[in-house]
Amino acid sequence: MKDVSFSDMEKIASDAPDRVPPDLESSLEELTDSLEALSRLNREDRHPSVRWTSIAAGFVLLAGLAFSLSNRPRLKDTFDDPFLAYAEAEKALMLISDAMSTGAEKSNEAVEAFETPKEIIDKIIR
Amino acid sequence: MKKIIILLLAFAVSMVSSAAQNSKKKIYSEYSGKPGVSAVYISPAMFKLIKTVPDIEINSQEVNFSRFIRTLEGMYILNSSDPDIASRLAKDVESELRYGKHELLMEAIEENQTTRIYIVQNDSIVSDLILLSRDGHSTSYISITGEMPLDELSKMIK
Repeated sequence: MKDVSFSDMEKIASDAPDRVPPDLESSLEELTDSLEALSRLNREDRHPSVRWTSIAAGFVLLAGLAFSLSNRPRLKDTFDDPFLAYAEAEKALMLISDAMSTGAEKSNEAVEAFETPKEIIDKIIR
Repeated sequence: MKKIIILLLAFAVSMVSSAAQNSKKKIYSEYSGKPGVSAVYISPAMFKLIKTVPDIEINSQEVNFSRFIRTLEGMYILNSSDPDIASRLAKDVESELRYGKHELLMEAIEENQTTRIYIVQNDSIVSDLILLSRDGHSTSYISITGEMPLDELSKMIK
């Protein structure tokens, strides 16, 4: 390429006929077909066993879920009578109410206890 | 491969969301049959029946629980005076609370009795409330679930 002048290159380009290989068209068709096949292969599973593996994994997960659900402890109501259940629920809520009231009483005592030092501080500031 | 990962993630999320309910059932099932343990379970179905029970006003009561009871969906109660069982029950409940979404609402310590109340709250609705009380060698555990408005809960304070 270094020994060829620009004018020579022009002459070569104008003189030399373009020779298209006879089987170019079929070669191009084959190439595009193989490219399409390759892209299809990339979208789908490379091997049928991969698809079956994912299906099997799904079944295993569903089976595990069904097994864990069936093994959950089934609890029976302590009372058959809703009135008795109501009374027991009230008893439990009474305990919760007592605990909350004790907590509220303690917090009120703390607030009252805080009032005395607060008054002292206010007097000092004035 | 992506489908397997998505399926696994969905499975894990569903397991985590049902884990809280499972842990209460697990604790109840473990301790309810033991000697020295008193146990009460009220199912969501029974609470639906309770909603049909007419209101009974008891004048001697300082707090009226009838409205609050109608917001409940489930209740587990365990009580044990056996020192060994009481200690294990308290530990199991505390480990359930450690890994759950519960926050401490209040704690009251008097002499040798410690009472803690934990809740799970979404906006102004409490969906889960646990009371754990240890008194010497006994433990009381109350777990209630439902759609409990916070203002109704505050009315329980005398």
